[in-house]
Amino acid sequence: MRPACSRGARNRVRGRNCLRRLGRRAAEKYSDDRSDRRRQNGNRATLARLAGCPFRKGGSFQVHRSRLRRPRRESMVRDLVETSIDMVREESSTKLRTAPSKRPRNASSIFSAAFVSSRKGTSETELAQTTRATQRTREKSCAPNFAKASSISAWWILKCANAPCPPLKSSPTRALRNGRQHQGHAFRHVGQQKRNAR
Amino acid sequence: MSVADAFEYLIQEEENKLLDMDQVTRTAVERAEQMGIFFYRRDR
Repeated sequence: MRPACSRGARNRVRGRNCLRRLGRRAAEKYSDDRSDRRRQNGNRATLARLAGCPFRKGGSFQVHRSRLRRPRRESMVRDLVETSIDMVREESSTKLRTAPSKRPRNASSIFSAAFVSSRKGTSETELAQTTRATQRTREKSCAPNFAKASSISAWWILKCANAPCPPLKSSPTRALRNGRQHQGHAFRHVGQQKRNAR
Repeated sequence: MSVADAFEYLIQEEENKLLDMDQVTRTAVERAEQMGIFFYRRDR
């Protein structure tokens, strides 16, 4: 005969039934963490924030007999592609905004561009003349600085070229080859004096 | 519309002109195909 068992004792039984019962209880307890509850899945948003990745909340639910049944797979894929398009578009626009070629180089280029665009109605020759004049002005304004910089660099090159470069009498490899101790640059004169004394 | 809003609006318009939407869509579909993941739970 089967022993009588109270309801509490039956709940404490370990096994598959017990797990299933626990699962159901957990689902009832945390009902807002279920995939089929729209706008109530608080945990998902937190996880997405932690992961730092784009996360689209569940959508595209199928309604069956005035109840939310499950998300449709086709709609989910469509949502995914839409999100992807948005992301790629945003990425491209960010690239466009931060592109170095689109950025004006300096203030004079901004003004010249604005001036040229303001005179769109004029003839092409006039526009070309204006652009050439702007370029000439810019060159003139840069010329003294360029000349100064180039003269300084030329002076440095000449100085380095004409500077007397003493021959290296002692190198680590040569010293090793000759079985002597290497004499560095700082002690070169000392070595010479010693050698002269010999 | 204020000047600041108009500036933003104009920038958006120019961006849309520069963007190649076909290329964007192609890239997006490719990414969704290769890297897209969705979680699907089938209720009984």
